[in-house]
This record gives sequence, structure tokens and C-alpha cells, in this order.
Amino acid sequence: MARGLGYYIAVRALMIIPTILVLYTIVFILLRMLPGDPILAVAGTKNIPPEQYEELRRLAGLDKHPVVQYFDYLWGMLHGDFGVTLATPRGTPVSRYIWQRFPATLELTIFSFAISVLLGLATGTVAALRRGGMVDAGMRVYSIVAYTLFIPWFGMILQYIFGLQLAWLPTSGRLDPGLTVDRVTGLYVLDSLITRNWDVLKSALAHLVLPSITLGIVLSGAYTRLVRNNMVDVLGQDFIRAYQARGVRGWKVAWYALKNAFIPVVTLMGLQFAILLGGAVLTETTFSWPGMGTFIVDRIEYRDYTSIQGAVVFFALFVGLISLIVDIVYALLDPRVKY
Amino acid sequence: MALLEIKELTVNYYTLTGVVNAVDKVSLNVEKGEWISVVGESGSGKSTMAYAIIGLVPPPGRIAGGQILLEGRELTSLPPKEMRMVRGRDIGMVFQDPMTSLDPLRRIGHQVAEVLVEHGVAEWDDALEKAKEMLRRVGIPEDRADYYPHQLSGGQRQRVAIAIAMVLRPKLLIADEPTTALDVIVQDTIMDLMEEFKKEGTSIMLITHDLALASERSDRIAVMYAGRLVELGPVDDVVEGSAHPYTQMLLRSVPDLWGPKDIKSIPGFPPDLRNPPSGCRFHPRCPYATSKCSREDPPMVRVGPLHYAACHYAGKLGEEGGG
Repeated sequence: MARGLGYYIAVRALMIIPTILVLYTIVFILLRMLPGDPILAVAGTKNIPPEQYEELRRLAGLDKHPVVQYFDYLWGMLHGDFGVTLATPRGTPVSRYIWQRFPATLELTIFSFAISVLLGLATGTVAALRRGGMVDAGMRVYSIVAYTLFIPWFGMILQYIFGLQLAWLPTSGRLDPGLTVDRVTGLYVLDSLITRNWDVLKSALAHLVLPSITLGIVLSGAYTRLVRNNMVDVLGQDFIRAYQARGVRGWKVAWYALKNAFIPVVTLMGLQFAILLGGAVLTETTFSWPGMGTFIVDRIEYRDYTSIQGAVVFFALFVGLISLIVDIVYALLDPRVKY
Repeated sequence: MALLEIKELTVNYYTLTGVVNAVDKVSLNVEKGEWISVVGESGSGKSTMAYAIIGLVPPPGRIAGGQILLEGRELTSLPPKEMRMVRGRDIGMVFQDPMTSLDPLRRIGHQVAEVLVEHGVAEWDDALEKAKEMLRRVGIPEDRADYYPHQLSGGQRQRVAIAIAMVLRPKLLIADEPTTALDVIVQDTIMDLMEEFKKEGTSIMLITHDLALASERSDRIAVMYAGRLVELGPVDDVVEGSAHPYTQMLLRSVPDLWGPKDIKSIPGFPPDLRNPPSGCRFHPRCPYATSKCSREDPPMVRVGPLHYAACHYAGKLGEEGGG
């Protein structure tokens, strides 16, 4: 308490540096442990001229000693340089793709994240309030089913029902053909609000519904269980009855209970975010969403390993940032957190 | 008229394995300005009775019969909205463990002030000022109003809990084992604090398993066993001349620094209230039990001017009255 929130944030921010270094190192080593020659893989043939082979090696940075490679790449990363593509179009900075694609992924993850947390809170709270009954049992089934759903399969069912049969919602892409929006943040919903482009807003939201519901439902299962168990725990605590015993209104007591039950959920949010990004890759391919996920899948098909390295390392940076935000939110919510 | 009249109160827990008769036809008055202590082992129904008074018997429990009158007003049939206003305004309650009875996420000043706001007595700004006053009144420096519960000691937290219970100056303060979680020195200061409020006119109902603690400051003592009231009377009468064998044995089981060294625990266990013993519920453990005890419920009989006991042989077992 004495040192304040600023100190806490600074310490947490410093602590993500080793986290990111470890993640980067793992990615770096794993990619170099892959069997086969990445240059031959990207070229697609063993019969390439030696000068072209050397050119590709130089482009990939593989001509130097691995230790030099490690630090070169790290140094570049600090300056926003994530290497260049090896496959067509050869030599394009990966950061340019990240710049184009990442906002799409961010927009999808934000909506999915919100849906999963809201669904988890609602189902978990209802289960806790009706614990031991049919509703509780139903929510238990929901959480397990949701958690084990395979995203592409579930996404296709939603596409079939709401996209094809009912034809209510678009099933692929981010906008209707022909629509464009001036880039401010790259998040179409936000950009269309800023530029007051209501047609784009409508189209962007419509395109977000199915993919974010698919991913949101799958990720909500874990929250349902956690919120339910925390709520049962909190509702059994003395302070809830103490609130009632001093005449505090029922809905306020429920709100205080939810606040207390929410704290462990924040921790789960940080962990879920990494899973969310993995789920985003599957969701994006299912819904042809032009984000980082489809980028990675495309580049895997080309065996374009510098692009994959760049994208994965960027994801690691992003997860590190999210865990920092989660730590800060945690400290703001719970006064017992020691600074 | 008594402040609180409990008439033939019966509370049952409807569990899957049977109906637990936790409180059985208990009648008890709390007079204005008195300190009454309800003593009993865990499972004797004393806490359930307290929760019944404020209308918060935890599920699957329910009041199955009887009346609770606060200044003549029937509480058990009160609509929920009106009952909510009774809680905190007319009856305050303090719980056993101050570690868990305060919300860990909210500043103590807010928790005190909220009672005033929720009862429509004051707006937030005004309420926070009044909360500070109340905290000072219970011995918490007012600059600590911004503290969270975890920043206070156990004793201070219990003071905050008392401040919350007393901020609207209710006529009755029910304290359910308020010092069990605290050390002995702190225990005494909390009791002092409650006594100060008693002097200002608040009636106190102390729920405790500790007969020694109860005998220190009470005007009267009510002894409960297995859901029934077994003895009721002024402290001196109950402690010096207890008329019920259970009370006598309870007194002998209390270690006394200056008393005889032979502490006798009560043989046997409290009964399963899903299937309580017939007649007197204490008869399986009672050394004086006769066949009559297992057949007939003993009525409350008067053994002194204000002293009652529920035993067929009350007053005839005088020699064994311990102390």
C-alpha cells in the first residue's frame, strides 16, 4: 500500500521481460530443431541453383552463427523488425503483415473474450444460485460440452444454420464486398464509429457475430465452472449473511458476492487469453477471417518459417502484455494484493 | 411489555436425510435494557434461534411454528421488504468471525455508512461522516475509515462489526459468539464495548457456548439443550442454584482457577435431532433420569421468583447444584 500502484505496475512490467525472453528462446530453438532444411522446404525443390540457395539463407539470416542469429533477431524485434518473408512475395517485412492482420485478430478476440466472460458469469451465477438442482446440473453439462466443442465443427454448424438456412448472417470475411473504411486503429467497429460510417459498422458487426459467438461459447465453459464454484463459496461466507443481517437490499448483496467471486476469474482471464489466441487461429480459418491466424496457416503451407517465427514471437509479446494488464486489473479489484 | 417475545418457536431443517428439529417450542422474553445470554453446546439450536429472530434461517431451514414479537409486532409473518428494514434498524447482529463477516473488498467506512444509506437515514456524504463518528465511538481512529478489513487486527475488525450493527442504534443487539475467534484480552474489551451500549439502553442477546463468559455480565441466562430451553433465570440463581441437571453438569465442566480441580465432562453426546429422544431430551445422559423422564416432556416449572427449569425433578436435586 505504501509504495502505491505505480510501483506495482513498474515491477510487473519489468517481470514480463524475462517471460518474453523465455518465450522467444523457446520459439527460436523449436524452429531450428524442425527436421529438414527450411530453405529447401520453402523453395519446394532440391534442385535450386547454389547462388539462389545462398541468397535465401542470407534473407532468412541463417548464414550467421546461431548465437548471432539469436541476438540479431532479438535486437530487430525491439525495433519492430520481425524479419522478412521467404515465400512469395519474398522479402516483405513480416511486421507489415502484422500491421495489416493483427487488428482483425484483436477485434475478434475482444468480442469473443467479452462473450465468453459474460456467458460464463451468467451461467455460473445462475448455477450457483440454483445449486444442487436441475439448473445446476444443466450448467455443468453446458460447461463441459462448450469446453470440448471443436471450433471448426461448431463454427460450420452455426454457418450452416444462420448463414445458409436462415441466411441471417454472413459466414466469412470482415466486411461486405465493396465496403471500405479509413484505417484509424484497424478495428473496423471502432474505425466506423470514429468516421461515422454506419454502413460499415452494421456490416462489421454482422460479420463478427458468428465467429465471436463460436469462439466465445467454446471459451465460456471454463468460466462457468469457476464462477459457479466461487459463487457457491462466497455465498456461504459470513459477510454475505452479515450484509443481509444489516438490511442491505438483495440485489446489492448479490453484486458484492459477484465482485468477490470475480477475483479468481480475472486470473483465469489471463490464462484463457493464450488459449483464446490459439482458438482464434481455428476460428479465423473457419470463417475466412483475414487475421493473424489465417496468416500463420497460409505461411505454414508455404513453409515460410521466418514469417511463422515473426508471427509466433509477436503473439508471445502480446500474451505478455495481456498478463501485465490482468495483473493490474487484479490489483485494482483486490485491495489485499501486496504491492 | 417485553422488547422481544419469543413464543413457542419451532425451527426445522428439511434435509434429504430427514427433518432436523433444531429449535423446539422455545419461549423466551428479552426485556428492555437487559443483557440475556443464551448458553448451549454447538447444535443446541441457539444460533438457529438467533437467525430465526432476524428472519434469516439458512435453507433448508424454516420456521415451522410459533411467534416472534418485537414490541408487539409479529416478525415471522412480516413481508420481506418490511423485515429487511427491521434488520439493522431494530435488531443489529454481530457474527462469530470478524475475519469473514466483513466484505474484504470494501473500505470499512463504506461498510458502516452503507447501513445508513440502505435504511434511508442519510445520503452517502453525510453517511460517511456519521460512519467516522461511529468508528471513533467504538475505538477505531477515524482516519482508518479508508482501511480495508485486512489492514485491521481481529479485535479491531470486531469493533467495526459492532459499529455496523449499532450505527442505527437498534433496540436489540444479537451477538453470536462474538469473541470466540479472539484472544482473551481482546475478548474482554469487546464485552466492555457491548456493555457500554447496554448502558445506553440497548438490549443484548449474547449467544455463547461459554458459561463463564455468560455469567460475567449477563442479567439473565437461558440454557439450551438439543433445541429446547432447559433453564432460565437471573445469573446468580442459575450459576449458584442451578435447577436443571444439564446446567449443573455444564457448570462442573467449566475449569475454574480457584475452584475444585476435578473437572467433569458430561458423558455421552448430544442427540441426533432428526430423531430426538422421547420425553426429556437430556434423559439419555442424565444421572437422575427415571422412566418418567423418557415418557413425558418436562414442563418449564418455576423454581424461584424469576427462575425456571424444564425438569421433572427441578428444585429437588438441590444438593448437586454446583458453582
